[in-house]
Amino acid sequence: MKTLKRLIWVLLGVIVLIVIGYFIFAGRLV
Amino acid sequence: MKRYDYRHFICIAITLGLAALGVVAFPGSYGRILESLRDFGVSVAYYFYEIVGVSHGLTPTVNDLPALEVVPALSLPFTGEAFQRKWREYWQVFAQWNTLSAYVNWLGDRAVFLAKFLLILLPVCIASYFLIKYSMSAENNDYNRDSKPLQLYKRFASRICRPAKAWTLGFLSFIRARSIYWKLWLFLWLIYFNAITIVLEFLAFYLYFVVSFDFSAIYRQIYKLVLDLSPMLLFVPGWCWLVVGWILFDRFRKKVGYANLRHYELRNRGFINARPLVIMACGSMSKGKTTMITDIALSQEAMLRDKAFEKILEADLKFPLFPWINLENEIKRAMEYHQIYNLATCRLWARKKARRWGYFGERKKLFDYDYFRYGLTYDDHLQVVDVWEVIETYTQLYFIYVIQSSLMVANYGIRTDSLFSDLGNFPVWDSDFFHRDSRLLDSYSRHAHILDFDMLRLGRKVLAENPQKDAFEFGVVVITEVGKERGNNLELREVRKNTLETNQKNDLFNTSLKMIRHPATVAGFPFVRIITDEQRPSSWGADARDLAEIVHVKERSDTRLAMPFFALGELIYSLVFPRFERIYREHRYRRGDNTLSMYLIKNLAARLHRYRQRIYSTFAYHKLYVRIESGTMDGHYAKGKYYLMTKKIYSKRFATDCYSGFFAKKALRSVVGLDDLSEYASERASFAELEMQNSYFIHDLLEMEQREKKRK
Repeated sequence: MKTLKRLIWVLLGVIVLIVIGYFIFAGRLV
Repeated sequence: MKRYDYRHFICIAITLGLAALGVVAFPGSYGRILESLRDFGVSVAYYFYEIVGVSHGLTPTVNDLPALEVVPALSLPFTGEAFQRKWREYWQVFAQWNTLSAYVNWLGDRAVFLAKFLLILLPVCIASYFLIKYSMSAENNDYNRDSKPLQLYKRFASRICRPAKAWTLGFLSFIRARSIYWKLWLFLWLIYFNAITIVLEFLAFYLYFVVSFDFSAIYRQIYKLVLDLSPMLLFVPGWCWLVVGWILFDRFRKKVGYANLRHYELRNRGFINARPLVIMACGSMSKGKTTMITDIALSQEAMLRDKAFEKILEADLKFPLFPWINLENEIKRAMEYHQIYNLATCRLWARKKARRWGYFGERKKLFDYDYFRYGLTYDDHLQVVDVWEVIETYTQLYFIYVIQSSLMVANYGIRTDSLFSDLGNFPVWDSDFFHRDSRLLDSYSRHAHILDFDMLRLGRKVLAENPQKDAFEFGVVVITEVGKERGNNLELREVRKNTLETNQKNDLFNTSLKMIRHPATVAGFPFVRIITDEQRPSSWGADARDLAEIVHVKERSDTRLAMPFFALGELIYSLVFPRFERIYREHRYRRGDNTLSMYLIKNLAARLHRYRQRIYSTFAYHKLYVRIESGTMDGHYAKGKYYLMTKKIYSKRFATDCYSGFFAKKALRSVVGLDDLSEYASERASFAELEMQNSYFIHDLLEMEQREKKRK
């Protein structure tokens, strides 16, 4: 259960990084 | 002839290399420094002309672009209007489906790259797995013998890695000792990355802006800032930014962690302040009640000093122009000569000084206070106080504040590590529990004073002529297992009050407890607290217990971490460590020698374990769920929480087995151990085996059996 919780947190972190990456990516296209 | 350390040549070579790098890679930076100096100078002149109101023909140059063309790291539009257009365009692009699909493709490319990397890593992992399996298959008893590969590795490490590491560390300390080199290098990098330029340009713009309020120029400054940052952004590779980002992130989460710990400490202090002078913690074994009272005592000690300081300030402000430093110096001197050693002597000393001043009213005898000018009384609209009354109070408060030993008096050892800093003026206490370096504990730690129970007895004493019997006035009294010391009415049923021997009924301990506030009160605040624990509240006699509030420790939460964002570290640890444990146990079972694979794995696991342990040692905490009940045990409970922070309470604070010394002596008297004790021959105990229990019950049964036999 604890490992699952940690995995979810890590995945959330990865998703946040992907979203930030999208902001930067869109900026490069302008 | 004086020989130079060859490392100077290396440093000079690095310096020359850096200078050459500046010319090649950062040609514009030197020019930018000159430009920023010019901008700053012009802005200073502009600022003063405008402030004074002198007409001038100066045009500030701070809004001019760099003369030398710079490759920008970000393609920002040149004007604010163009930026607004681009900004709108950005959100349009942002919301387009094509952008998202392009981004997904880009992510896919990166994933493919990662997959390739993993593809290379996979065979290495498989090979390592089989290597470990193979090494496990062997069984031997070659105690502590290194395998061939390990011998080779150790030789390689001792010939290449260790000397390289030692040289690097030596070189680093060489540079640190000769600050000219690293300061010069830092200065060069600050120039190359336009750091000095940015600061000067900021000041130049600030001086320009505060008199011109030219809002339209702000965008130009942002544009220029991006241009100035560009050399750094383009020069430093991506992975370096990742490292920098990680370091900043780590610092941020640790900062949040420390802030959380301090917040919990403040909540604890709120909890303690809401309790009466006597606190009794109760709970079954291993619930953490002794830990809790130790924690309370530590916080209380810090709070007493804080309170003393607060009251000192209050007294100070009554006569703000009194030279308190002169009084403090005299108090310190009197403490050195042991004229002042408790609150009563403080009062006596102050009154003696007042008397001496009273003869002629000399200013010198009033610590050089110019009382003709500033007066001798203070009116707070409640009462008018004389300066000597305030001096008396100040002396006592200063005495409480300045004592460097612990304010705790306990019946078990407690370590305290408040730091006392004194430059010869007003000393300052640092009672932060969370930033202490564990390697330096012994250098500044003090311990609680030994509690002589005679100090708390108003009646008969155990030692009639005990020189310490009247010593206690103020402080934090900590008594663990108070019921075992004091007993309850049931246990003391056979004890008589009118005997020559000192006992719980004629020592007037309870009366002392009831009156303990009186000698400890200074400036209307009682500088005393009694903190006790026991497994059951009723183990302590009701007469004393009624004074207390009982804190029942109901539940102890799991270990939690005050530092956020540690999930990745935890995940790696929880994946790696159990596997290591399995492999290691198997290895220890099968082999007695040392193998290279186990050497590397164990090193890695130990590092990971140490890293996690250090994080937990600093940021872990437990929550204690408590119920608070009046000492009269009226059955009304209030819920509460108390935080036990690992760094504060488990850093060599006290021994949970504080009475183990006694039991160790008892065990040493024994000639047999657990392994020597007789075992039952089967699941059903024989008569002889039962007899060996020395049990009341079995003895009764055996006696009954013998009586039956006799009757027959």
